Amino acid sequence: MAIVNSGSQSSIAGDFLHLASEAIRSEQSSEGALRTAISRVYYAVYLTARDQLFGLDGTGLTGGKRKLLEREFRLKRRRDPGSHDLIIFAITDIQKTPTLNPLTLSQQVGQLKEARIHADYHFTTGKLMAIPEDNWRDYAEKNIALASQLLAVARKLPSYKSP
Amino acid sequence: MPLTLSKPVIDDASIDMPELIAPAKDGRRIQTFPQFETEGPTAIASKIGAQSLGSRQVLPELSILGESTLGEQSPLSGKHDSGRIRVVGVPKLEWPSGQDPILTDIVRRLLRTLYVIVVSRALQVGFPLRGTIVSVFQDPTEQERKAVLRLACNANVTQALAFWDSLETDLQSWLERLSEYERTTFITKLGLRVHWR
Repeated sequence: MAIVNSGSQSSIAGDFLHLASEAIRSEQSSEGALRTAISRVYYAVYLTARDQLFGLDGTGLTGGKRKLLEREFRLKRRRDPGSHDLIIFAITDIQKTPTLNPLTLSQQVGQLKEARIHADYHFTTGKLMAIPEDNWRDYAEKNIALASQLLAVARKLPSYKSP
Repeated sequence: MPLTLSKPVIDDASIDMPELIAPAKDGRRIQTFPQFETEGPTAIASKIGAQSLGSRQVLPELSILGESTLGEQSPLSGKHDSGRIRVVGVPKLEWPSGQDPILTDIVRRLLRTLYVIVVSRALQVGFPLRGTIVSVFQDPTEQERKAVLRLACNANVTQALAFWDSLETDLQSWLERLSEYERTTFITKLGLRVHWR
């Protein structure tokens, strides 16, 4: 028996953001909850961007389109792309419009991703020193604010066309 | 201990933040700094105390280390009617203390130019930059290392993103003028991050 998906991708992304907001509103939220909030809001934006560019679950990123994008990535970065890298990289290929700034958008999503890496993987003082805040609540709050702005832009991304 | 940035050299009280337009319902973000669009850089410059924009006075001179020499020592300055000196400076570009293999000559050169582009734009629109620091970020999940230029500012998230977005055209124009190798280096090894209050 499979889980039935009761929401659209868009509504789930909104849920992620909502849950993250609840975590910072509650005084009781633990560090784990605040770290999870940071992680969730990155995924809200990342998954929305992926699905806008390549269809639900990124299913359009297959075959020739995927190979072409991976080849371009390898050519530029001299390494194999990770799945997140590939989506953020694809954003830079989109045509700039008056309402879409692909170069800066990819950097902004990169900032959320960086926060998610800290939240999910880093526990030592040396690694945590790179975080530009002195507590998880403020860091989560900043990332939620950023994600809520970026989500609106990600929802307007066009379908990806190879350059 | 959090990342520390250089002492602010911008006098907040002397800068009027541009009026910002709320995000449109269609998902578009705010238009960046409408004041700048309608009044032009010179008018904005006079408001923030700069004597001239569009000339070399706007850009900080770079030492061989790539650090601004315009910071606290020789700020752009003007006078209020009251006679109080109004100081608008730029934060120095701070580098990591140790050596790092990612900070090659070409990466350092690109970071210095990126810094100049950012600071120039900030002065044009009166954006309150507080600090600029280079750090290295490593993503353990994708074997990625990047040299990141971090901007700290006295702005809110909407203002910070509007400023960030306003850099797109400058960055695109700059990238077009770079060689293929430099462009690839920028896209693959450099990052820009903005941290607001």
